[in-house]
Amino acid sequence: MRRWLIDSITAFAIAIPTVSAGQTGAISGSVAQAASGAPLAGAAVVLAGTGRGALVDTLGRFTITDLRAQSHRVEVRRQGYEPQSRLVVVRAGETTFVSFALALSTQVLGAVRTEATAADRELFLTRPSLGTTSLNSRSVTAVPRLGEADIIRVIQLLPGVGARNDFSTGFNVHGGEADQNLILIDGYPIYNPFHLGGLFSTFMDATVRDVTLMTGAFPARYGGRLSSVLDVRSAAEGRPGLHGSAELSLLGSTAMLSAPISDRGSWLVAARRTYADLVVGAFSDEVLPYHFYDLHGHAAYRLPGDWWIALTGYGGNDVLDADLSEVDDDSVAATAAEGNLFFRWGNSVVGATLSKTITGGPGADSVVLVQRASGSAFTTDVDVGEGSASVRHTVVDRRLGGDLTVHTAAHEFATGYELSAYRLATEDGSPQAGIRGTYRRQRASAFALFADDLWRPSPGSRWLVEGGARLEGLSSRDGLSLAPRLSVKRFLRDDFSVSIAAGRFTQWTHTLSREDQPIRFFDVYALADSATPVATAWHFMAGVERWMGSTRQLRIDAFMKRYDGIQEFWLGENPFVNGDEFTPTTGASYGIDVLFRQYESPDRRLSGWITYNYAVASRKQDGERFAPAHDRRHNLNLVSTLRLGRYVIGARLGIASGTPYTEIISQYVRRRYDPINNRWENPGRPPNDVDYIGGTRNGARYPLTQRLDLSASREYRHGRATVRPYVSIVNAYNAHNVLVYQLDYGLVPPVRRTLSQFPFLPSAGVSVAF
Amino acid sequence: MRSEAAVRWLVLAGVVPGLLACELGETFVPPGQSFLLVHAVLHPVAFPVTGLPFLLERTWDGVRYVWQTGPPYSFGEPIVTGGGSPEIRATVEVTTPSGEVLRAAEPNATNPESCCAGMYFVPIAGSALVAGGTYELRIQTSSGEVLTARATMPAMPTVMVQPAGVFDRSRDTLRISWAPVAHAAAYELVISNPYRDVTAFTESSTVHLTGALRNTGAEGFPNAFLPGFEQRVSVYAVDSNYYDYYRSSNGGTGRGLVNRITGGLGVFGAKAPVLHRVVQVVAPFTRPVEGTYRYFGTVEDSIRTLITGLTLYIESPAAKTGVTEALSGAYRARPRALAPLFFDTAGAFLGRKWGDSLELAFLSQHRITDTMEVFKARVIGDTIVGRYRQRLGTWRFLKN
Repeated sequence: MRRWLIDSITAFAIAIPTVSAGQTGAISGSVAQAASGAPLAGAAVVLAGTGRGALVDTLGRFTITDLRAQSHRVEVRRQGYEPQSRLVVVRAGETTFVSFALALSTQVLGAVRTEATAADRELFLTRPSLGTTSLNSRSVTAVPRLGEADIIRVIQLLPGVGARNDFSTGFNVHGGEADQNLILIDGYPIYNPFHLGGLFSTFMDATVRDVTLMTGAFPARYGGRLSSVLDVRSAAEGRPGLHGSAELSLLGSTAMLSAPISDRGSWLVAARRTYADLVVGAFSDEVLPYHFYDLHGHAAYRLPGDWWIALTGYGGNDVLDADLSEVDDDSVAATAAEGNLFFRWGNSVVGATLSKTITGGPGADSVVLVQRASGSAFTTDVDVGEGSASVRHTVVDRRLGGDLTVHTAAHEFATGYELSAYRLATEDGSPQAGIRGTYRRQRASAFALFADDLWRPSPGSRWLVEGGARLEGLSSRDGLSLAPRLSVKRFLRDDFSVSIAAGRFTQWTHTLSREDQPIRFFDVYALADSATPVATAWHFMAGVERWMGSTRQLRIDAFMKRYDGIQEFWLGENPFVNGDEFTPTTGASYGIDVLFRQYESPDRRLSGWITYNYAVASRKQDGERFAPAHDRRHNLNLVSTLRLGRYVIGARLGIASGTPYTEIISQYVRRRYDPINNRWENPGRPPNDVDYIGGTRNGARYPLTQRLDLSASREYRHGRATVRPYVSIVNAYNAHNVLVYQLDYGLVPPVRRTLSQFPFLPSAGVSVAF
Repeated sequence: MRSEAAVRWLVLAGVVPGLLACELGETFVPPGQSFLLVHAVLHPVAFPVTGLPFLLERTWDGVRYVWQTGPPYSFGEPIVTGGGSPEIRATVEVTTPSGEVLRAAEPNATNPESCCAGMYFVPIAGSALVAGGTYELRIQTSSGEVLTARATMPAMPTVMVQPAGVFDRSRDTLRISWAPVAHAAAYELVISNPYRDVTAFTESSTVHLTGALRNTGAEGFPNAFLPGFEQRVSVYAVDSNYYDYYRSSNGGTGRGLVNRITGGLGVFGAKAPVLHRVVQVVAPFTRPVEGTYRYFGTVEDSIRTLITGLTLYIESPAAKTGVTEALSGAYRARPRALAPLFFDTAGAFLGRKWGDSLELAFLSQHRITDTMEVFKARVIGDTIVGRYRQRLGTWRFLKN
């Protein structure tokens, strides 16, 4: 059965039809925002007087075919932008290319004054999905940062999202674990996109056009994770000529170059590297043996026949290469004898998308064909003492996917497939001693077929219904899994809707991580197999959304999730035995997210959002019920950006209740028997061989946390160049937020030391763009 | 040597929090809880005179004082001087596979606080242990708490005692293999090391040890093999209790230990020796200061000298200018009759060298925790001239 299905969808992939140009002519082109150059998805392109037209796709492109060879007036409209029109000559057998750049506008439509329409407004009007939020790079840049602007740090401030602590860019959605988020870069999966234990994400702000976060009950085209989808899209250059930007911060520097490729596409390359190691080495005898770097490239090009190809490449690595004999101060025992510690972890993504938008055709306004191929890898290499102890882990995810979307007046029907080939390898041991510990090789293929239909019964209908299903299978597990999805929206008024949604979700990549640890350097993955089941979750959501004008949004979503077969890494697993790595866990979570957001517009200087999340999560394992370590009950965030001429002032205030932790209730010394001398060895002075005993799992909670971050920047213009120096302060009033407690029961009375999260941290930098 | 330990090391080292986190201070907290903790290992070649030493103590709770920075560690008082809180006057019994109940003795039963507190000696001769036999431990404290555990003795093969050999760590690989042992959950490799023994578990019955191996269980990952040292490489077959206890731990999250003790925690395990091999670690002399030295002085002084000969190695060269080089080597002392009581007649030293100055620490039983004497000196041509910390006079050693 499975083979038949795989064969069928492979055939489907190969059989995606190509469409001939025909004997008439065609118009193809791009539509972008004039200010940012970002593609303007959803804009309507209309040929005056013909009734023909097309919608601009997510890459900002459109094509209208089968046009009579004559002059046509092409009009481009999108709510919130100045419309444009242009006379375009179509010649027989040729495609005429044209590009538009729309400026923001203030329109008067009847009695309703509308301002710049945000992507969320589009979502509100056109999609019934709940919990979906989008951000563009402009919103991200204005949020106070630690050194580098970071998309995922801003994502942590969105409704339904929480983070364990300041040191983590990992995020938890609606009570789910951090490994339950599907993170995509231009539609391709990326594993563990974090640097330095989660302190920074791998996404460079300059390369990001926008991000979309779906916190639950997402459509059937997405699968493989239980909690959320974060879709990060690369920027595309819509302006003529070469452009670039550079940012220097205390942490590192980022440089980006971008340009259009005639009028047929654009390219972008960017690189980032931290340089604290170089600075320390240049100005002192000290050694800071750590750096990370990222490389990102993206290009889109229109091929003959109006096919578009988009390519994305990303590579990044963290490197900690410490010769401890250099790092440490010398002491009684010569540190020259000390060894090396080498950590390297990083990910790489390469992907290509071939797409075509066909306007018109029998029974359809337009048809979008997309074929996608990608490879994503994440590798870790830990080596202690030049091979005396090592851990190596690799996950490679190669995917082939495609979808076909048919737009009609009432429907947007999409169907597609996804074929994945996974290769995971984990081994540890001591090459220098010829000892092998964990040795696990997993190879599996997975497939998914999905169908999804967005239905608006009539143009004026107040109902929006999206239903679909995803059929999935994994070669290392028997059986197929069906994941239905449904969301329904009812507009009570033009600006007010209620929605409900539900869906089933599956996840077969599990992480061997200790969720209770406050800081995770990276995840090590394992696939579901005969010993490890696929985790599943049901999402149920209900929400109301109200727009006040087109730039103020109030959204309240309630959610409930039930988990089954979540796999938690069992700390006592035997490295010589495969299949005992996980402990099955069930769980549930429920809560409410509230979002009030005010979007930027020409006459509104203040923008930002306020979110309040209430979430309760619980897990059950071996009959024991406990709150997971990310169970943050209350989370309030205020994010604001004030633009005053050339100044931009940013502020973020976060107040959140504490997360649970396991209280240490005792300690002990682990002793080793010396059989040669029939005695017990000297354990050395504490903390040597001192271990900790925990009380009730996550039975205690850290105190409330609070943090105010501020930033300010000013824009200077010199010719083509824009220079923007900024200052940023994290934790402006130095709130003492607890990261972790360290207890010492060897003292009388016992003592608790508190390690803090971010203290008061000022930073500064400058960005230059041309 | 498990690599997870390396990850844990980095996390505990606080690389990330160390960059940005700060300590918010200390507060006193209420006492914690105290649990019975036992460390007990069945081993067949224990001295039948004393029996097998089992340790019984209480975990730290902030009520009982624990000696963390007190006097040096004493093998005769392992709990009190090793950061523990002994549990005395308990009844410790081991039931053998044949049903015989062996009752452990406290060395000083009338006043157990005065000596060896928390030590209980089980009167079982190594030869009496039964391969594949299950032993039951039962402990009852004076307050009535009961702790129980069971352990199965692995098979006890004839121990291979391989002849001592020279191991040139710059080029040699020590290949060791043994026959599989019945009832063994894993094998424990132990390499004696001055910092702490190198230990690793393996399921294989062969290991290949290179001279570049590092001791990842010791701070700073020093070399496992040190030129000038006589080091023992041993392999033990261990039962699942022993293996599970020593490969797992709770760590900072307080969870993760595989504990097979009912009524408390710790280990009641079994290990059987499989192989012992002693290697004399050497390395080529490549630097001027390296080589063998003999005492050089008057006949009168030669009677008083502590050390009569040295073999000196640059154990690790300096990683950068301005820091010291690490030294290691072997020494010969005067015959026992002429040497101080505490001083081994032959052994090893560790040291450091900067410029033409050097400092050597002569170790007792090859352990860095037990330094017998320190010698500070200068290198003048082929001569080392210096003074001992605890002995008057200037002493010279001439390179051979």
